[in-house]
Amino acid sequence: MNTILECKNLTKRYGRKTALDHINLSLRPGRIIGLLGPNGSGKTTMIKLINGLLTPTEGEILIRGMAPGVKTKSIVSYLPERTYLDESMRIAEAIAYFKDFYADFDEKKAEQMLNKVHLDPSARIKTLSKGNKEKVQLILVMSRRAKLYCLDEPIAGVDPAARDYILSTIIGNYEPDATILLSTHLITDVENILDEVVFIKDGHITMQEEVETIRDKEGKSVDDLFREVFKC
Amino acid sequence: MLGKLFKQEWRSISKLLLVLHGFILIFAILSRIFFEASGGFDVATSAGAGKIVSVIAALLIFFTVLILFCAAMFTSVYIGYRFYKNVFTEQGYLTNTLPVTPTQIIVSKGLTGLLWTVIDLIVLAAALLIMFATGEFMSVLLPAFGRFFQYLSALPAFCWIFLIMLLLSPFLTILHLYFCVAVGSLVPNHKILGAIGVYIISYVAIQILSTFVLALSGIGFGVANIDTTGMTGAEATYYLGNLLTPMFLIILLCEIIATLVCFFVTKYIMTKKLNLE
Repeated sequence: MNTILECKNLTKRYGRKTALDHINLSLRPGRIIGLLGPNGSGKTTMIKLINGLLTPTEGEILIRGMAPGVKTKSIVSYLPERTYLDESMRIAEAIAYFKDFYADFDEKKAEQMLNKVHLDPSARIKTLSKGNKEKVQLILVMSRRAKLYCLDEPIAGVDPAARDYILSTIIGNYEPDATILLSTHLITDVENILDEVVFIKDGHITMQEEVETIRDKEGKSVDDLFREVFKC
Repeated sequence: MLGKLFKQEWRSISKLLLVLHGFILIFAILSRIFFEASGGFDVATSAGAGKIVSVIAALLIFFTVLILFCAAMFTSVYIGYRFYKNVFTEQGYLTNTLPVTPTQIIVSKGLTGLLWTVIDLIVLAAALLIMFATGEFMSVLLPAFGRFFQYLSALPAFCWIFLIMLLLSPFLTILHLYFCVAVGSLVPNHKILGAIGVYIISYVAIQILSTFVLALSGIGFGVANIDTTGMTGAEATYYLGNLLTPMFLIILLCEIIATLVCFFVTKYIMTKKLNLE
């Protein structure tokens, strides 16, 4: 399979406002791809469409050739930019929940990762700090052997040490043949782990390029190029 | 997957409802102990009882009515709230990205809700029996129950239809709650208010519609002019059956249509109009 994700004329409108405007995009497997754009550029809409939380107004979105549905949800691992767990659950219950629903969930891997950050599985999620809640969610999402990981702003709002942990967890735990689509506006922190970037602005894809190529051809870092492209 | 969804929902919803219904039973047992210690319910509530005993007895009866009413209301509202919280708030980011269909989500939550509605009814009835039942009362109630099942086989058609209507009504109640939550979720930033608004509007609409259907079918089938004078029991049953069966069938049909409308609108909104903030 050459593409993990394909968007054909993908359009999403909220009333009169167009969030995504006839997007054409194709992503290959085995890559870490940055979906980069300022706030309100359409990153979250795009990720919600991939996960079937929204339906396109026009065009189509295909994951491994399939429209979002039960089959795609079983191969896409999604980390939203908020706490989506029932906070009255204990961490161990959340693990059991993921194990129940996702055939690709590796319980041992999740337990090892929890041990590493000294999180007690019997702790209730509501008693955890914001940073630890994000760590638990990231551990759950990255313990799946998924084909596509969609991580929406995974490093926003956490301290630099937590950022390092999150990024090293992402790199250290994804399947080699899987693709990670990571949306963020904090370029400097993620630049070193990306293979490819997709720039999104006002609902349009303005650039899709290899990070190496940007550095070689343009002689700039992705951060410099981002600042140039999205200059206010 | 339906079984797994049901299991998880059952665990989540039962935490609070078990505590609530456990409390009701404990309250009923303690009240009964009080009445027994005061010489029985009749003595405790009679004019001859001591002042303190009468006041406590009156308070217990007042709180029993209040608690049972609140528990029934709370169970119903909580079933709707669980659906809202799980599907249309932040938790919806997980629920709606599980590899399951919206139908499976509605059915699993609906079945747990249904089961708790039944448990609620049983616990409320049990609490009343624990508090007030006497040996004499039970000696009448239990044989009556037995006879009810005996008579079931001999029931005329219109009674069967009525029974089916009664059994179907909890399905409609729960799916109506889900319908209100789903339609209310389309109101940006005021999903709960939206759900309450939809509940009030749809409740009034259902009342007007059912009055309309009852009146029309009643007049149409001559139910408004029922006259069984001079008939034997069997003749009256046959006569009533002829009048009531088509009328009840129409009402049952309306109930089934309303249930299906609630289900499909909820499913449509979850599939096409999900509005998570």
